[in-house]
Amino acid sequence: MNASLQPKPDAKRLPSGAEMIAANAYPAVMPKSEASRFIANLKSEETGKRAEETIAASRNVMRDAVEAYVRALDEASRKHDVSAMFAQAHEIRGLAETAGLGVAGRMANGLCLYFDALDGKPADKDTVRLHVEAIQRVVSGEDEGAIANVVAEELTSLVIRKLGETRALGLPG
Amino acid sequence: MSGKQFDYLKALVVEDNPHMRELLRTLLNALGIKQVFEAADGTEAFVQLCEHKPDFVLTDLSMAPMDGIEFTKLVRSSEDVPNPYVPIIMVTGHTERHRIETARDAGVTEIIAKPITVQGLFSRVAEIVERPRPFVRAEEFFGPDRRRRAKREFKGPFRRHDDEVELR
Repeated sequence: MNASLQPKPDAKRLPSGAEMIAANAYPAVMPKSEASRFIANLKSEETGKRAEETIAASRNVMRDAVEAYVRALDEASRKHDVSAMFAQAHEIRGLAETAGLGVAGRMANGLCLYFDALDGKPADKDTVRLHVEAIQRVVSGEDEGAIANVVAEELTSLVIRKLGETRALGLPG
Repeated sequence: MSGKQFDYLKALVVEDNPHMRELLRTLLNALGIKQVFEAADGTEAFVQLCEHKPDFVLTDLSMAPMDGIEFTKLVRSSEDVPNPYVPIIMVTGHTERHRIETARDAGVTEIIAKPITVQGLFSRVAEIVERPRPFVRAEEFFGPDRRRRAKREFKGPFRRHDDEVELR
């Protein structure tokens, strides 16, 4: 048996039988002497700036990636393939903000939450299509700023209403 | 790249999306961590973990064939793993409550919701260095204590039967 997995003689034994192992009883990420130097560097303005520059530098690559995921989402929605739509929307919600397309990310997140809440029940095709088209308009630059935000809010309201209708109808999963 | 270097530190990034994997790697580089190993799923990650013995892990949740939950469970339970206490930070777009609870119950140390931000990532890395959490070994769980903070003003109700209760 892995020695680290064996009960520790100095661990606190709880009445339930569970063992509570103190943080100083297992290997630390780094020695204490180094930790303060590491944290000071992590919290420094210079490091923060360098990291933000890293994100900014990746924006174009991320944007290309998001555009590819949006095309795949569109294809999946035309085939009514919920599993593929969820997968593509999930990638979009993860990358869109970094690509400078935060509203598209929020819309994709709303679509994911809709599929997740449906839990296997049939998705409303119009609701899905409206999401896909709205995401496409944001990514293509057709919708931006205040208009895109209003559309995102409307889509959120639509999802809430549709989920309410699905529950009221008691549709099978 | 300028800035302080932490050559001895090793991190493992487990992410199936190559763009996100690259972003996480470069952010860790910006932090001065040069030894960043990469894997595209849990199976590959486990091999990397055993070979390189990283000081902490960043992992996605949804991956195939082995996802981040199964990978975490394996790290916490396998006899082959060099350090079952290794901090595991889950980076996920899945913000649904049931998925977060599943991750916590698998033994994840910290969770970051995508989209990734510098503040979000750095604060979790700081957390595992500055405030390492005690581990609990129970019959069906081995991982960081799932109760994050004890509130002094909290008087109950108590959820763990061995919560220390002051008797008067």
